[in-house]
Amino acid sequence: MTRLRSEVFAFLVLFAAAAVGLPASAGPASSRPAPEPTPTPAAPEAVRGTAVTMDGVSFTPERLIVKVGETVTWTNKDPFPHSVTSSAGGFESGEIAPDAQWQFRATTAGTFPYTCTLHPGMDGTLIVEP
Amino acid sequence: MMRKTGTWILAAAGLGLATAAWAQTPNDAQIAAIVVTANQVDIDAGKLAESKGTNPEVKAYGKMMVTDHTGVNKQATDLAAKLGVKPEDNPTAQSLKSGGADNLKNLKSLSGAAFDKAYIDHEVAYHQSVLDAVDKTLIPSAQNAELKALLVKVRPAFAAHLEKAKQIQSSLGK
Repeated sequence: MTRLRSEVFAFLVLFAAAAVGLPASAGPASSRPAPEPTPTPAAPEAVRGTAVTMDGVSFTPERLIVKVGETVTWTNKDPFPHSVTSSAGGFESGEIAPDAQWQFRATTAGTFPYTCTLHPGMDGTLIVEP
Repeated sequence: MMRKTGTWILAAAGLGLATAAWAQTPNDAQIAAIVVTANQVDIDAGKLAESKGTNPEVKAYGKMMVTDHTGVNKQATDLAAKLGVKPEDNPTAQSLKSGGADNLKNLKSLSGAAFDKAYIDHEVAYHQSVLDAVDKTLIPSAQNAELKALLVKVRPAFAAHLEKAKQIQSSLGK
Protein backbone atom coordinates (compact mmCIF):
# COMPACT_ATOMS: atom_id res chain seq x y z
CA MET A 1 0.00 0.00 0.00
CA THR A 2 3.00 2.31 0.00
CA ARG A 3 2.33 2.75 -3.68
CA LEU A 4 -1.11 4.04 -2.94
CA ARG A 5 0.31 6.34 -0.32
CA SER A 6 2.80 7.86 -2.68
CA GLU A 7 0.08 8.22 -5.25
CA VAL A 8 -2.07 10.15 -2.82
CA PHE A 9 0.92 12.21 -1.85
CA ALA A 10 1.69 12.96 -5.47
CA PHE A 11 -1.86 14.07 -5.97
CA LEU A 12 -1.71 16.33 -2.95
CA VAL A 13 1.52 17.88 -4.13
CA LEU A 14 0.06 18.44 -7.57
CA PHE A 15 -3.07 19.87 -6.10
CA ALA A 16 -1.14 22.16 -3.79
CA ALA A 17 0.93 23.35 -6.72
CA ALA A 18 -2.21 24.05 -8.70
CA ALA A 19 -3.77 25.90 -5.80
CA VAL A 20 -0.77 28.16 -5.54
CA GLY A 21 -0.98 28.76 -9.26
CA LEU A 22 2.17 26.93 -10.22
CA PRO A 23 2.27 25.18 -13.57
CA ALA A 24 1.74 21.76 -12.06
CA SER A 25 1.55 20.09 -15.43
CA ALA A 26 4.74 21.62 -16.77
CA GLY A 27 6.70 18.57 -15.71
CA PRO A 28 9.99 18.40 -13.89
CA ALA A 29 12.70 20.98 -14.29
CA SER A 30 10.41 23.51 -15.84
CA SER A 31 12.61 26.33 -16.96
CA ARG A 32 9.82 28.77 -17.59
CA PRO A 33 8.86 30.89 -14.63
CA ALA A 34 5.77 32.18 -16.44
CA PRO A 35 2.83 32.15 -14.06
CA GLU A 36 -0.24 30.29 -15.25
CA PRO A 37 -3.37 32.38 -15.74
CA THR A 38 -5.60 29.38 -15.02
CA PRO A 39 -8.28 30.05 -12.42
CA THR A 40 -7.46 28.58 -9.05
CA PRO A 41 -9.33 25.31 -8.69
CA ALA A 42 -11.02 25.21 -5.31
CA ALA A 43 -11.07 21.82 -3.63
CA PRO A 44 -14.02 20.16 -5.34
CA GLU A 45 -16.43 18.35 -3.10
CA ALA A 46 -16.46 14.59 -3.48
CA VAL A 47 -19.80 13.32 -4.72
CA ARG A 48 -21.33 9.90 -4.15
CA GLY A 49 -22.60 8.22 -7.32
CA THR A 50 -21.57 5.93 -10.15
CA ALA A 51 -21.54 8.24 -13.18
CA VAL A 52 -18.95 10.69 -14.42
CA THR A 53 -19.47 12.98 -17.40
CA MET A 54 -16.60 14.19 -19.54
CA ASP A 55 -17.70 17.56 -20.79
CA GLY A 56 -15.87 20.78 -21.56
CA VAL A 57 -12.56 18.96 -20.99
CA SER A 58 -13.33 18.16 -17.37
CA PHE A 59 -14.64 15.27 -15.33
CA THR A 60 -17.92 15.92 -13.52
CA PRO A 61 -18.03 15.23 -10.68
CA GLU A 62 -14.32 15.74 -10.41
CA ARG A 63 -14.18 13.62 -7.25
CA LEU A 64 -16.46 10.60 -7.14
CA ILE A 65 -17.03 8.30 -4.17
CA VAL A 66 -18.09 4.69 -4.76
CA LYS A 67 -18.07 1.51 -2.72
CA VAL A 68 -15.99 -1.52 -3.56
CA GLY A 69 -17.91 -3.63 -6.06
CA GLU A 70 -19.71 -0.72 -7.70
CA THR A 71 -19.30 -0.01 -11.38
CA VAL A 72 -18.53 3.51 -12.55
CA THR A 73 -19.60 4.73 -15.98
CA TRP A 74 -17.77 7.56 -17.71
CA THR A 75 -19.64 9.22 -20.59
CA ASN A 76 -17.88 11.44 -23.12
CA LYS A 77 -20.02 14.44 -24.02
CA ASP A 78 -17.21 16.29 -25.78
CA PRO A 79 -16.83 16.25 -29.54
CA PHE A 80 -13.42 14.59 -29.28
CA PRO A 81 -11.99 11.54 -27.48
CA HIS A 82 -10.85 11.38 -23.88
CA SER A 83 -9.22 8.77 -21.69
CA VAL A 84 -9.60 7.73 -18.08
CA THR A 85 -6.13 6.80 -16.97
CA SER A 86 -5.23 6.02 -13.38
CA SER A 87 -2.14 8.03 -12.50
CA ALA A 88 -0.55 5.09 -10.68
CA GLY A 89 -1.89 2.30 -12.85
CA GLY A 90 -4.91 0.19 -12.03
CA PHE A 91 -7.27 1.34 -14.74
CA GLU A 92 -6.89 2.61 -18.27
CA SER A 93 -9.77 3.17 -20.63
CA GLY A 94 -7.92 3.79 -23.84
CA GLU A 95 -9.57 6.38 -26.07
CA ILE A 96 -13.26 6.95 -25.34
CA ALA A 97 -14.91 8.31 -28.48
CA PRO A 98 -17.43 11.17 -28.45
CA ASP A 99 -20.78 10.00 -27.05
CA ALA A 100 -19.21 6.70 -26.00
CA GLN A 101 -19.03 5.28 -22.49
CA TRP A 102 -16.49 3.33 -20.51
CA GLN A 103 -17.12 1.33 -17.38
CA PHE A 104 -14.87 0.22 -14.57
CA ARG A 105 -15.75 -1.95 -11.60
CA ALA A 106 -13.97 -0.78 -8.48
CA THR A 107 -12.54 -3.74 -6.63
CA THR A 108 -9.88 -2.12 -4.45
CA ALA A 109 -10.50 0.50 -1.80
CA GLY A 110 -8.42 3.63 -1.97
CA THR A 111 -8.09 7.03 -3.57
CA PHE A 112 -7.22 6.93 -7.23
CA PRO A 113 -6.31 10.13 -9.04
CA TYR A 114 -6.75 9.78 -12.77
CA THR A 115 -6.24 11.91 -15.82
CA CYS A 116 -7.08 12.21 -19.50
CA THR A 117 -3.78 11.53 -21.23
CA LEU A 118 -4.98 13.51 -24.25
CA HIS A 119 -5.76 16.71 -22.36
CA PRO A 120 -3.31 17.93 -19.75
CA GLY A 121 -5.06 19.40 -16.76
CA MET A 122 -8.17 17.23 -17.19
CA ASP A 123 -7.99 15.39 -13.89
CA GLY A 124 -10.34 13.47 -11.66
CA THR A 125 -10.27 11.34 -8.55
CA LEU A 126 -12.06 8.08 -7.83
CA ILE A 127 -12.47 7.38 -4.15
CA VAL A 128 -13.33 3.74 -3.47
CA GLU A 129 -14.66 3.03 -0.01
CA PRO A 130 -14.50 -0.43 1.52
CA MET B 1 -15.73 46.96 -26.67
CA MET B 2 -13.18 49.10 -28.52
CA ARG B 3 -10.49 48.09 -26.10
CA LYS B 4 -11.39 44.42 -26.40
CA THR B 5 -11.31 44.57 -30.16
CA GLY B 6 -8.01 46.38 -29.97
CA THR B 7 -6.50 43.65 -27.84
CA TRP B 8 -7.55 41.00 -30.31
CA ILE B 9 -6.08 42.97 -33.19
CA LEU B 10 -2.81 43.25 -31.29
CA ALA B 11 -2.79 39.55 -30.40
CA ALA B 12 -3.58 38.56 -33.96
CA ALA B 13 -1.13 41.02 -35.44
CA GLY B 14 1.57 39.48 -33.29
CA LEU B 15 1.04 36.32 -35.30
CA GLY B 16 0.79 38.12 -38.59
CA LEU B 17 -2.78 36.87 -38.72
CA ALA B 18 -4.87 39.93 -38.95
CA THR B 19 -4.07 42.82 -41.12
CA ALA B 20 -7.76 43.60 -41.16
CA ALA B 21 -9.63 42.45 -38.11
CA TRP B 22 -13.28 43.34 -37.87
CA ALA B 23 -14.13 46.93 -37.30
CA GLN B 24 -17.24 45.98 -35.39
CA THR B 25 -18.63 43.19 -33.27
CA PRO B 26 -19.03 40.03 -35.36
CA ASN B 27 -22.51 38.61 -35.77
CA ASP B 28 -23.31 34.92 -35.24
CA ALA B 29 -22.86 34.01 -38.91
CA GLN B 30 -19.43 35.66 -38.88
CA ILE B 31 -18.53 33.96 -35.61
CA ALA B 32 -19.47 30.60 -37.14
CA ALA B 33 -17.13 31.30 -40.07
CA ILE B 34 -14.33 32.35 -37.70
CA VAL B 35 -14.73 29.20 -35.59
CA VAL B 36 -14.77 26.87 -38.58
CA THR B 37 -11.78 28.59 -40.17
CA ALA B 38 -9.78 28.69 -36.95
CA ASN B 39 -10.32 24.95 -36.51
CA GLN B 40 -9.56 24.13 -40.13
CA VAL B 41 -6.31 26.08 -40.08
CA ASP B 42 -5.12 24.06 -37.10
CA ILE B 43 -6.30 20.77 -38.62
CA ASP B 44 -4.23 21.46 -41.72
CA ALA B 45 -1.13 22.29 -39.70
CA GLY B 46 -1.74 19.23 -37.50
CA LYS B 47 -1.89 16.93 -40.52
CA LEU B 48 1.43 18.28 -41.69
CA ALA B 49 2.97 17.76 -38.24
CA GLU B 50 1.66 14.21 -38.11
CA SER B 51 3.43 13.37 -41.34
CA LYS B 52 6.44 15.67 -41.25
CA GLY B 53 7.21 15.98 -37.54
CA THR B 54 10.26 14.18 -36.17
CA ASN B 55 9.78 14.31 -32.42
CA PRO B 56 7.15 11.73 -31.33
CA GLU B 57 5.50 14.28 -29.02
CA VAL B 58 5.19 16.74 -31.89
CA LYS B 59 3.62 14.09 -34.12
CA ALA B 60 1.22 13.06 -31.35
CA TYR B 61 0.31 16.69 -30.76
CA GLY B 62 -0.43 17.14 -34.46
CA LYS B 63 -2.69 14.09 -34.35
CA MET B 64 -4.52 15.46 -31.31
CA MET B 65 -5.07 18.78 -33.11
CA VAL B 66 -6.57 16.96 -36.09
CA THR B 67 -8.86 14.86 -33.87
CA ASP B 68 -9.99 17.59 -31.49
CA HIS B 69 -10.46 20.38 -34.00
CA THR B 70 -12.24 18.06 -36.42
CA GLY B 71 -14.63 17.15 -33.60
CA VAL B 72 -15.22 20.78 -32.68
CA ASN B 73 -15.74 21.69 -36.32
CA LYS B 74 -18.30 18.97 -36.79
CA GLN B 75 -20.17 20.21 -33.75
CA ALA B 76 -19.96 23.81 -34.94
CA THR B 77 -21.17 23.04 -38.47
CA ASP B 78 -23.95 20.81 -37.10
CA LEU B 79 -25.08 23.62 -34.81
CA ALA B 80 -24.92 26.21 -37.59
CA ALA B 81 -27.05 23.92 -39.78
CA LYS B 82 -29.53 23.34 -36.98
CA LEU B 83 -29.83 27.06 -36.31
CA GLY B 84 -30.05 27.86 -39.99
CA VAL B 85 -26.96 30.04 -39.71
CA LYS B 86 -24.88 30.19 -42.86
CA PRO B 87 -21.26 30.95 -41.97
CA GLU B 88 -20.48 34.38 -43.37
CA ASP B 89 -16.99 35.15 -44.59
CA ASN B 90 -15.39 38.18 -42.99
CA PRO B 91 -11.98 39.85 -42.71
CA THR B 92 -11.05 37.92 -39.56
CA ALA B 93 -11.83 34.55 -41.10
CA GLN B 94 -9.92 35.61 -44.21
CA SER B 95 -6.87 36.68 -42.27
CA LEU B 96 -6.95 33.45 -40.27
CA LYS B 97 -7.00 31.59 -43.55
CA SER B 98 -4.13 33.51 -45.08
CA GLY B 99 -2.15 33.31 -41.83
CA GLY B 100 -2.68 29.55 -41.88
CA ALA B 101 -1.52 29.35 -45.48
CA ASP B 102 1.61 31.34 -44.66
CA ASN B 103 2.34 29.06 -41.74
CA LEU B 104 1.96 25.93 -43.88
CA LYS B 105 4.21 27.41 -46.54
CA ASN B 106 6.87 28.18 -43.96
CA LEU B 107 6.55 24.74 -42.34
CA LYS B 108 6.83 22.96 -45.67
CA SER B 109 10.18 24.64 -46.24
CA LEU B 110 11.55 23.23 -42.98
CA SER B 111 12.49 19.76 -41.79
CA GLY B 112 13.72 17.86 -38.74
CA ALA B 113 14.13 19.75 -35.49
CA ALA B 114 13.60 23.09 -37.21
CA PHE B 115 10.19 21.94 -38.40
CA ASP B 116 9.22 20.65 -34.95
CA LYS B 117 10.22 23.88 -33.28
CA ALA B 118 8.52 26.14 -35.82
CA TYR B 119 5.32 24.09 -35.65
CA ILE B 120 5.13 24.06 -31.86
CA ASP B 121 6.10 27.73 -31.53
CA HIS B 122 3.30 28.60 -33.89
CA GLU B 123 0.83 26.37 -32.04
CA VAL B 124 1.62 28.14 -28.77
CA ALA B 125 1.08 31.57 -30.29
CA TYR B 126 -1.93 30.46 -32.29
CA HIS B 127 -3.79 28.91 -29.38
CA GLN B 128 -3.02 31.91 -27.21
CA SER B 129 -4.43 34.22 -29.82
CA VAL B 130 -7.48 32.03 -30.45
CA LEU B 131 -8.16 31.85 -26.71
CA ASP B 132 -7.92 35.63 -26.48
CA ALA B 133 -10.38 35.96 -29.34
CA VAL B 134 -12.75 33.42 -27.78
CA ASP B 135 -12.67 35.21 -24.42
CA LYS B 136 -12.64 38.81 -25.51
CA THR B 137 -14.64 38.82 -28.69
CA LEU B 138 -16.40 35.62 -29.71
CA ILE B 139 -18.11 34.64 -26.44
CA PRO B 140 -19.12 38.22 -25.55
CA SER B 141 -20.41 38.84 -29.08
CA ALA B 142 -22.33 35.59 -29.66
CA GLN B 143 -26.06 36.27 -29.62
CA ASN B 144 -27.46 32.78 -29.91
CA ALA B 145 -27.34 30.96 -26.59
CA GLU B 146 -26.35 27.62 -28.14
CA LEU B 147 -23.53 29.18 -30.11
CA LYS B 148 -22.29 30.91 -26.98
CA ALA B 149 -22.57 27.62 -25.06
CA LEU B 150 -20.54 25.82 -27.71
CA LEU B 151 -17.77 28.40 -27.44
CA VAL B 152 -17.76 28.11 -23.66
CA LYS B 153 -17.68 24.32 -23.91
CA VAL B 154 -14.75 24.08 -26.30
CA ARG B 155 -12.69 26.78 -24.63
CA PRO B 156 -11.08 24.38 -22.12
CA ALA B 157 -9.90 22.18 -24.98
CA PHE B 158 -8.04 25.13 -26.52
CA ALA B 159 -6.56 25.93 -23.11
CA ALA B 160 -5.41 22.31 -22.76
CA HIS B 161 -3.89 22.49 -26.24
CA LEU B 162 -2.01 25.64 -25.30
CA GLU B 163 -0.73 24.03 -22.11
CA LYS B 164 0.42 20.91 -23.93
CA ALA B 165 2.10 22.96 -26.68
CA LYS B 166 3.97 24.95 -24.03
CA GLN B 167 5.13 21.72 -22.39
CA ILE B 168 6.46 20.40 -25.68
CA GLN B 169 8.01 23.76 -26.50
CA SER B 170 9.87 23.68 -23.23
CA SER B 171 11.06 20.09 -23.73
CA LEU B 172 12.22 20.83 -27.28
CA GLY B 173 14.31 23.69 -25.96
CA LYS B 174 16.47 21.35 -23.92
